[in-house]
This record gives sequence, structure tokens and C-alpha cells, in this order.
Amino acid sequence: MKSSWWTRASGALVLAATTAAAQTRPLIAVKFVLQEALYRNEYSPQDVLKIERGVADTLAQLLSRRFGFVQFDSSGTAPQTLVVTLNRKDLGSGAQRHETGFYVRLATAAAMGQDRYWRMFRPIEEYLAARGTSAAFMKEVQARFEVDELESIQDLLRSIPISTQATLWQDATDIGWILPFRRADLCMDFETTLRIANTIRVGVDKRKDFRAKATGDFSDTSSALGTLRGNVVGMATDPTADLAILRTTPANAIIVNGVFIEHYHRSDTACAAPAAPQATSFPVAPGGGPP
Amino acid sequence: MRAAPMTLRLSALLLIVATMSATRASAQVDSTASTRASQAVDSAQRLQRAGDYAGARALLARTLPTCAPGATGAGCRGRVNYGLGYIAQLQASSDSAVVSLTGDATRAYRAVLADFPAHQDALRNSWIAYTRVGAEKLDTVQLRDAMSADPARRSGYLTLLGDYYAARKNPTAARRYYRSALQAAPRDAEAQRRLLLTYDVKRSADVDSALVLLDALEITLPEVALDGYQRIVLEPTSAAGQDRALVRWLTLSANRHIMVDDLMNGWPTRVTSTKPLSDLRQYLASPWTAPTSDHWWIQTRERRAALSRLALGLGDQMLAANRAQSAERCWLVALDFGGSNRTPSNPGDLDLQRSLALLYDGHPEFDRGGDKFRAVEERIFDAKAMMIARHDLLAEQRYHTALAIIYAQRGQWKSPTYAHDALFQLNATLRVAFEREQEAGTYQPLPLVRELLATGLQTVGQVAEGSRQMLEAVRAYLDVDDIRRADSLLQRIDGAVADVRPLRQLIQLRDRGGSADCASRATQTDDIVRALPGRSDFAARQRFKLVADCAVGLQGQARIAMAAKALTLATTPSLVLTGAPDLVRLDALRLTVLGHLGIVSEPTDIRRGSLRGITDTSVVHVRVSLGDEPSFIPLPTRDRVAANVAASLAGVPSGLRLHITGRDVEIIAAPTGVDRKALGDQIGRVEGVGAVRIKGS
Repeated sequence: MKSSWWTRASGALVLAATTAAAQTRPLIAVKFVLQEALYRNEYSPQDVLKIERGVADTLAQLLSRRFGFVQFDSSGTAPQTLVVTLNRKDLGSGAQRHETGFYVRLATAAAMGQDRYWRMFRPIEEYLAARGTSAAFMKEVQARFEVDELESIQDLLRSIPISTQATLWQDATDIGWILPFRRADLCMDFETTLRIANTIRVGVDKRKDFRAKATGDFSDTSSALGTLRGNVVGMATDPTADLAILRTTPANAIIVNGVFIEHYHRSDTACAAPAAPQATSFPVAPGGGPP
Repeated sequence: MRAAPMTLRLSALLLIVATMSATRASAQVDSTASTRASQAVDSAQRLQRAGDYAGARALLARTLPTCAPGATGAGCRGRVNYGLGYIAQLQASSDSAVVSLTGDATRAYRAVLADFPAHQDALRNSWIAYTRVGAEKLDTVQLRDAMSADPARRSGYLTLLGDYYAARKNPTAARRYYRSALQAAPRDAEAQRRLLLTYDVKRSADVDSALVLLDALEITLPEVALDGYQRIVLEPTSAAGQDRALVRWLTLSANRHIMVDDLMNGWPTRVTSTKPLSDLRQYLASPWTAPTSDHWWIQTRERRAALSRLALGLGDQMLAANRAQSAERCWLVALDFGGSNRTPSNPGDLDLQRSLALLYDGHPEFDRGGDKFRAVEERIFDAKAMMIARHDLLAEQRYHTALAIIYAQRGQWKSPTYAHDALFQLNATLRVAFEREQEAGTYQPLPLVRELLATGLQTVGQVAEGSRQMLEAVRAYLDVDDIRRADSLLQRIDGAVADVRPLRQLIQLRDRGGSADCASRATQTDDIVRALPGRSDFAARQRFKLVADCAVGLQGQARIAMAAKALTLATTPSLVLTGAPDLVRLDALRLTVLGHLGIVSEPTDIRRGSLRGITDTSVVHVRVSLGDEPSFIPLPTRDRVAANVAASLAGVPSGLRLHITGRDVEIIAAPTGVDRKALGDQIGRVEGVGAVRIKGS
């Protein structure tokens, strides 16, 4: 089954490895820290807290809209936290003015993660410009995120598995993986690229990553995988020689350790759900018929 | 899960069809039937949740005939048909008979629309159902019908039609539909990305065509442009366009702080082992080591500039990690890409020099006696002198700006040494920008430069002059559509020094944007714009933005007429549009005016460079200020003619179709009851229109 367009994948199932059950998307907490001392000291601790919470809320909403394969939450805790910090770009500089910008890192309970400079907040020449009230400042910070420049976040999310399950699928010419998600779960468009991390147990355990491209929905009528019908299928893009090991290794010796999104393409239409009858109305004019 | 038996489906459909044609005669509403319908829908959903789709649909099919005929039963029928559509739609998402089930669902929704023609949820659910079918299985006739019933989703349906042809390996037809979709929604990233995917990046001709599109997308949808370049990079060919794609990909990636080394880890070896990418990886592994003379990325000026952008970003990351010394080494190496004596200098040098100067200023520990700072400063002055001697005004302006920022950071607003202060350099920046405008018509708003100058003047005690400059900065921010910043600066101006009222009124107007009452405020708008102090082109530009934004908020003929007025303004030779928001406005205006005349327009083609020396009169040149380099858009003369015609007709009456070639107009179809001859005479009197023909006469 070769296709470069979103389509419905079907064909002979030859091998099923780790059978994927329906899963939820990974949850990531979002935190915003106003670190730049000049700005932070201008507001009361309560106002700083308000700014930090408000910006974190905005970020969580924005990122949830943009990256449908992850759930972002600014209110709770999660195994991983995306920390966005507003600070000066040159941390060691003793100059009077500084470029200020946003840093990002992914923190876990075990590791703080390393800050990366993400994008500018204010150029040097605006460093001292008025910040206004805490509400005005928060609005200014939030406005900076309206420009869609989120590749640095995508870089970080590349390391988060969206699942530890996937079902290996192959026919005479192609190999792919059926993910434990439907396209609507992930708001995913075609051409999204995936990395499937595996352990291959032939003698010594061997770790092997494969690349795949999401191309369609699984529609095989085989009863063995009937429950996966409608799930996303990623077709392998590695050269045939690199994939040979998947054809020659017994199914139970191929363990999927993680499915990662390498390059995500969002589709708003993919995740739109039909409105249920209870959510709609049929207003009728007093004399009958629509008003 | 069981599919509904075919006989059941047919009987349900016959009932739908039978009730679709019901009249809407005035009658008492059958509220009992409506309640019964709601209860039936609830029961059907319970069956559906238990997996009994057939039972759910059969129950609703039995309920449908109990609804009263005509208008009386509309509410009852609406509920039952909607329930039928919804359940078939849910079933389609998990059943192999997706095409026939989607057909059932959309037919049921059409039955809802027969009673409730603008039922938003029925329209939306239909649309969602079509998107789930799978491109190659779509029915184009159904799609076109659905598009007619749901004009708000026109771009989405056109994209689906494009998908259909793309899946059937007909890129030419697919492109046509994607382009039409983009006319309906110029910033639709999904349609834009699909359009790019129709180009085969293994074919050199296709790569060249894609590059034209990508060039414009760098401004309006940079993330899509980046994807597009990356796609070309991932299919190495010997095509000349490949080099350009590589250079643009690296430049955009560096500008957006993308970790290209991590990114390339996931790329196939056949790609990363090519000379350009293996050289790039070698550099990334050690940006403190000068590249060898055969390094791919230092062979041409454009490649060196791209590598410099990368070096700049890498140094920024080092600064952010508190490794200033590493940043210094990285930037010093980058300054010598291609050898220290090369001529001309690397276009990326200035940014590196500026960064180094700022680094020395912030880290005196690396520059005890200030010699390193002075060396960089001297290098910038030398390069600037060379640019002045060459009369390279663009480069000169950039050098003045860089020096201005360096001195501003040091708080060096004034200096006893000639030219070694921020105020001198800021004034020089504005002087050269003005000179460029006089020479090449390249207007630049430069809001940051003006704001910094105002701040500097106020800092050294020249309060009145500072306030006047701040007013200029406010105007510049309005030009680049940063209304919030303009408002914030305006509040800092002493009203006793400068009259801020006209600009305050303008900001209020701009803030209201496309509110529905904007058309009724036309006279007030005219008065406010007329009263604006300063350059007349500022007032013209603001008028364009106001009129274009107003069109967005209107409906029907009023919207078309307002869009036509704005498009006429945009094609006025003296007007310079500013920034990406104006490009988006222009696209939307062209869509509205041309689309209603039945004309499919081409994608906006943004050209870099000055209009000087260009004498092509077959097109209308719209000047655009994007960054500090001049740009323009060659629009077909047809667009201005169409705008003038639509403006003179106060809209585009339903049924009017024109074919416009250059200045000549052919009336293809006229609204019912309109005298074609009289219409032709009226169009013939419109400014800019040449010959007028009437099809068939």
C-alpha cells in the first residue's frame, strides 16, 4: 500500500507485533517564570504570580491548539513540565540594556532540563521601555506568542513518546505501524513524520529506530485487527535494506519502546467532532417552520 | 459492529427524500411530535452507544413518518433527520463501508437543510463527514453541491477537491483547486502546504516553480515555507534550485532558532552524506574551528550569509548558556568565513560585528582595555565607509542602525567624537532611509529607530524634539499595524508639545477595525484621515487599511463594494503597502472582488527589488515595504479594472460574470432582467476600462 496522500490503508496483514490498545495523549504541565529581575521587581509578588499564571494559561492553550498530539495543562502537575522563562539573552552581561527573550526547557522529576533560547521578547533598544501595569505587561508577553514560531517547542517534543505501543503491519511491498490513536485524537494531517523506537531481541538486545510517515487510516477488514480500524497508519520510509530485519525477525522479538513525532503537521479538520443532536437546536417560528 | 442492512438504508432514504419536499405552509407547530422526535433521537443514541447502529437508525426511520407534513412538522423532521445523519456519521468512522455510510449521513443532513437551510451544525457535520472519507473515494459532484450549500467552507471544499485530484495523480487539476482554495482563504496553511506537495521535488522544473511560491511564503507563512524548503532538501538532486532551497532552509532555520543538528539526526544517510549537509554537520560539531577552503557553505556569498546566520544563532545559545567566551570565538571564526581579505564582505558580517560589540560591552572581562570593542567598532566604520564610497545606501543604512544600537546600549547618546554616538547614527539611519526613498521609492516605517531616537532625545533633555519624534514613531507603528504599541507611545507624549488628537482618533478607528458599523462611519473616517498631520502617503495608507478592514466586517454587496474601493486604493501608484498584514489584506480583497466576478486569480507574486527602470505597463505594480529591502507585486491590469467596475456598480450583482483581458471587458453573463447593452455602456464608462464586449452579441 503506497500512498503519499491521506487515504485509508488496507491490505494483507502479515505480522502483528505489539498490539496497540487505544491510548491517551501524553500530558505535559506548562509553567511560566518571570526571571528578568528588572521586570520582576517592578511588581508585587501577587502580581508576579498572576502574570506567571496568566501567561502559562495562554501558552497551554496556544500549544494545545498547535500540537494536537500532546495535552498541555497549566493548572496541574505532570511527569514532564515545559518551563518557559523570560530572562535576558546574555545571562552574564553587565551592560545597561539587554535583549530579553524566552527560554524553554523540558523538566522532569529527575532532571531540570537545559534552557534553550527560544525567541526574543524585547530587543535591546526596548529593554527599558515602560512595562505598564501588571495586566498590561502580561498582555504584552502573551501577544508575543501570537506569532507562530514554535519550532523550538517541536524540537523538545520530539523526545516525548506519544505511545509505547504500535502494531507492526506489512504486506509484500510495504511496512508500517498502526498507532493506538485515530487521526482525530491527534489532530494530525498527512505527511507527519514519526520515529518508532524498537528493541529487537535476536541474541543480544538491539535498539533500532525506524522512520515512518503518517499516510492514512487503517481499514483492514481482518478480524485480528478489527478493533484498530480507523487508527492512524505510519508507513516506513527507511530504505528497504534497513527494514529487512523487520521481515526476518519473529513478531514476538520486536518490541516497540516508543512512538515519537518527528515533524508534526496539524489539521484542524482532522480533529473536528460532529455536533451531537443534543448540542443543536431547530428553532421553529410561531407559525411553524424555521424563523 | 454490524453495518445496517441495505434494505433498511434504502427505506430510510426514501423517507428522507419524501419528507424533504415538504412545503412550509403556515400551520400550528406539532410540539408533541417534536418531543417524540427528541425522545426517539435519545433512544437511538443509546442504541448507538451500545453498538447497535442498525437498531438506532431503524428506530429513527420509523419515527420520521410520524412527523406532520409541511412546516408544522419541520422541527420534528429536523431532529430525526439530524439524528439519522449523526448516527450514520459515527458508524462511518468505525465501519468499512465508510463511503456509503457517509453518503447516508450527508443525505440526511441535506434533508435537515431542506427544512432549515442555514442550519450551522448540519452544514458543519456534513463537512466533517466528507473530510473522513479518504481523498481518492470522494465524489466530486457531491462535493460541489455541498460547497454551494455552504459557502463559508468554500476553501475547505476546494481543498478536498484538490485532495481528490492529488490522490488520483493529477497534480495540474489538484493545483488548480488548491489555488482556488487559497483565493478563498489566503492564509490557509493546510491548502498552501498541499499545493506545495503537488510539486515533484525530484524534478528540476517543479522545484523551480515551488521556489517561486516559497519565496512569497517566507513572508506570509514562514513555517510553511520552512517545511517546503526542507522537503526539497530531503530529496537531493543536482538541480540548481536545490542549492537555493538549502540556503533558504538553513537561513530560516537559524532565524527561528531551530536545532538543525538534532533535526538532521533523524534524516536518512543518503541526505546527510551529501557534501552540503556533511559539511554543515562538520561545522556544527565545532563552530570554533574555521571551515576548510573547500567547505560547501563558504563558496558563495549567499551560502556564507546563511552560515553566518547559523553562527549568530549558535552564539546566542552560548550566551544564553552563560558561555560568552565560546560565543565570542564562534563569532570571530564566522567573521572570517572565506578568508579575512575577501571582497566583498559577507552580508552576515554586520550582525556578527554588532553582536560582538554588544558582547564586549557587556563583558568587559574579555576586553580589559577596550581594544577588542574598538577593533570591532573600527571594522564597522571601515565597512560603512566602503559602503558610502560605493553608494550602497541599503548597506550604509544597516551599518548606521547597528552602530546606533551599540551606542544606545552603552548609553552613549552624545559623544565629543564625531559620529560615535547613538543620536548621530539614528539620525543618519533616517536620513539614508529617506534618501533611498527619494531614489528608489522605498518607503520604510522604521518604528523602532524612531522610537529609540525619541527616547534618546528625551534622555539628553531635548524634550520637545523627542515628543515630535515620538509622534513619528506612533505613525510608523500604525503603518506596521502595531496599534497597541502606537497607543502606548501616544500616551507618553506631552499633549502640550504636540497635537496628539488626530492620531488618538485614528487609533480608535483602527481599533474598531472591521466592526459592522464601519461603513456608516465613512464620513467620519474621511474627516479624521484628512486631518492627519504629516506626510500625505501616511494618510493614504491608513485610509487603505481602514477601508480594507471595514470590508471584512461587512456582508453581501456592501462588502464587495467596500473591497473594490480598497483594491482601487491599493493599486494607486503612489501608495506603498507595509508589511505582511497588508499583503494579507491585498489577497483577501482580490479574492472578494475577482471571485464574485467569476475570475480565478493567480497567487500573489512578491518580487524583491526596486521598481526603478521597470517600464512594463501591462501590469499594475503595487509597492510593498517588507524589511529594509524594496519589494513590489506585479498585479494584472485586470485586477484594477475589476476593482473599478465593482466599485462603480456598488458591488457585483448576483449573476454577473465578466472576462477581463488587460483593460478589455467581456460580459459573460448578466443578472436576470438586466439590459446587457445598458450594462455594457455603464461598464464602458468606468475609469480604466477599454473595449466592452457582450458575449453572444
